[in-house]
Amino acid sequence: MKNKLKVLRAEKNISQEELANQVKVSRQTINAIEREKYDPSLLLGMKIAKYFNKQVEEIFFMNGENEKSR
Amino acid sequence: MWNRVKSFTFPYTNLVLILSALILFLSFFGVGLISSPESANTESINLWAKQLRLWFFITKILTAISVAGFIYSTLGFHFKTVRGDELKLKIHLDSLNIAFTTTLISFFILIFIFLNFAPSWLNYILLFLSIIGIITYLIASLLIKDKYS
Repeated sequence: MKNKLKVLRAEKNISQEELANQVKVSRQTINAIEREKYDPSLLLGMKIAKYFNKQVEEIFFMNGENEKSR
Repeated sequence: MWNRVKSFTFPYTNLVLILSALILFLSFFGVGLISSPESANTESINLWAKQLRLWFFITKILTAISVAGFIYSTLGFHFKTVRGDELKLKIHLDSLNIAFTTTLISFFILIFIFLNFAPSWLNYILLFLSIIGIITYLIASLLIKDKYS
């Protein structure tokens, strides 16, 4: 699964640590998600989406999907 | 009741674990305090028997406290892991999976080897398996942590 968490975080100008505190996980978890080494749980995905005020599928999408088409 | 357990924070789990281990081993060290009867007369043997009964009672209490401590810390570690960071939980579960599979395979291998070549070593199979389990868990957690970093 791919995501554009890093882009959104850069747009909002917040650090991994700050985002981690907001969604109540460790910085390592946010780092692993950004590097696409770990797929978050549905609950965490929804928390992140809520924090960025977006839909889950706007942030996380399958490998084959084209994010630009959204 | 279950909701109360789920919302309990389980403080001092590490301290309780260390104290429980110390209390458990206290019985081994304390038994040296009871001296054997000085003479073979009835009075001194009765006194020694009384001391021994008292000591057994104390060790039972200590062991009960220790076991309660182990249960408390086990529950504490469990709930802290489940409520904590989800990546840490995944690393923990993956490591447990590897450790359990390795221990199970080692169990069959060791049973085969010991039964055929060294039957008396079967007495120590639990010791071997626990060592294998702990070492595999530690190595697996390091490797899996590396995978996600």
